[in-house]
Amino acid sequence: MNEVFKLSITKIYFVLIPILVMFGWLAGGFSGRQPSTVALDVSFSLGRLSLMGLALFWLQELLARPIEHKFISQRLALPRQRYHYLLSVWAKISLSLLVVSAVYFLFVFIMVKYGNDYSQATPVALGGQYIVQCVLILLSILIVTAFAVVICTISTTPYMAFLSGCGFYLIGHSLAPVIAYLELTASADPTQKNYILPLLDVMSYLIPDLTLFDLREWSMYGHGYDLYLAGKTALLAVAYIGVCLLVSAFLFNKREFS
Amino acid sequence: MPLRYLMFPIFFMVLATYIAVSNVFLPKRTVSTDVSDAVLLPLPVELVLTAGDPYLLANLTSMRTTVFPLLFTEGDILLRGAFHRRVSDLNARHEDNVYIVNAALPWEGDVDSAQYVLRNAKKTRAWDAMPFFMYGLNALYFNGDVVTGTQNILQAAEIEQGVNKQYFQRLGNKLSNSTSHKRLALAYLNVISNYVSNPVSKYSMSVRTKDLKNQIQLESAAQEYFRQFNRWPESQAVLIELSLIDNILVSPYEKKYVFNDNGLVELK
Repeated sequence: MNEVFKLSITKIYFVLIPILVMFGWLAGGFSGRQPSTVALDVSFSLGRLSLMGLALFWLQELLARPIEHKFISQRLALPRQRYHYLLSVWAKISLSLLVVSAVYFLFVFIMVKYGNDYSQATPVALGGQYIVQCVLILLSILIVTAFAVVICTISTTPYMAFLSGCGFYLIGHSLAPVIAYLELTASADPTQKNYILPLLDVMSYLIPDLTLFDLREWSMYGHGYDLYLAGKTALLAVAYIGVCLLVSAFLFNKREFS
Repeated sequence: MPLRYLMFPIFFMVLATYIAVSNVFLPKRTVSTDVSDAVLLPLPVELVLTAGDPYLLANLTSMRTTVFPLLFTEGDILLRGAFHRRVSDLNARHEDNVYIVNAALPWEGDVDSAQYVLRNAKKTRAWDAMPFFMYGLNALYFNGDVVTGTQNILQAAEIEQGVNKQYFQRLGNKLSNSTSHKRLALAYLNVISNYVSNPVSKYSMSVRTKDLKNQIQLESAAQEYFRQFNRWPESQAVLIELSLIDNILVSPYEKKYVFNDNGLVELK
């Protein structure tokens, strides 16, 4: 973890946290009747996006760059299995992400709780609902990171892991809405329905639906609170991360570094 | 002196020249205030632009609606309706969207957009009485639909726990007992149809006006019948025999008029 916090990108992100929280606070100013809800909503969105970018940058620095610059062979010289190194990198990233996101969401908590004295008709809930949503955001980012680790172990191109991680994030979030749009909307193009929909159906088995990790309305509106559903979603994340890490460990052990 | 020391001065000189030329010599570009400039992209495209985040997109779209210039042209009203519907599709609970759409759009003729947003809000904000109340009020005054209006206002009274509860209840009860609400609705429709520019709304309002006029005519004939025989008529044929009405009236909604036990006309 020390290695992660020495990176300049991490220091930059710590400077960025108050700025992002201020963005959320300012977005709340656009709202007439629910400033705290909008502030919390925008903060969730900004936090998820920026933490995902941060995690992928870390992966780029800790795994992709050593592979690209060939000094990975020094790091693998220790008398241990290769996948130990891979898993240690992923563990470093996830623990650091836990720390950084805890700082971010603490700032957001303080901003939402004390940043506004307007009493809303439906107040925000900053108890268990908020913690559940923060954990789910963290898990969805870890899924993206685990997928990027798989790409890292097979790619020979620089920035491939970063770009494919971003693409995975985008597809994971847009796949379910696009399928719903094509299936349910009458005005959707029939050609797209015939050619794209089967492809999207296959993809939906390979790529998890990341919109499931978005249960922020519990916290934003303070109504409805289903731990069972959240637990099932978390189990999906753990299973997907496990499969990704297994595949990447297998590929990493087989890979030849010239 | 090497060229790279001159790079910055040259760059700024070129920039200054460009700005000077574009501001002084070229004709001034007029800033358009037409709202049709505000484009609404297809939903999948907009979702990808916000990294697949429907909540963020809902907030951004809602912010765009608050900074619109209000032009009250037909295109302006249709476009604002589309924006509010889009926000409602993305996050139906969005409270600002519900209030802004209800405050503005029905009065400008786009009742359907307002009712669409309110219907979604009723489903998702089940703890909140205001969407029910607003939906009921719009149904009552803009669509002339007293049954739906009264139902929704009574539902709002059930949900509401605060000071508004007794007002909702009183209004709902008054509406469900009153016989003059149809005249009230007709008068209301006549007034607001003068201010409506959207042809679709104008047509639907004219149909509602015709329907209400028929119902009022039938109910006053039924009251005349009640005065003579001390009971309510069973059908329109009885009224024609007594020449209280000229011919059998048919609803423009392709339904039949039926008298209920209180002598009021219902659609069947």
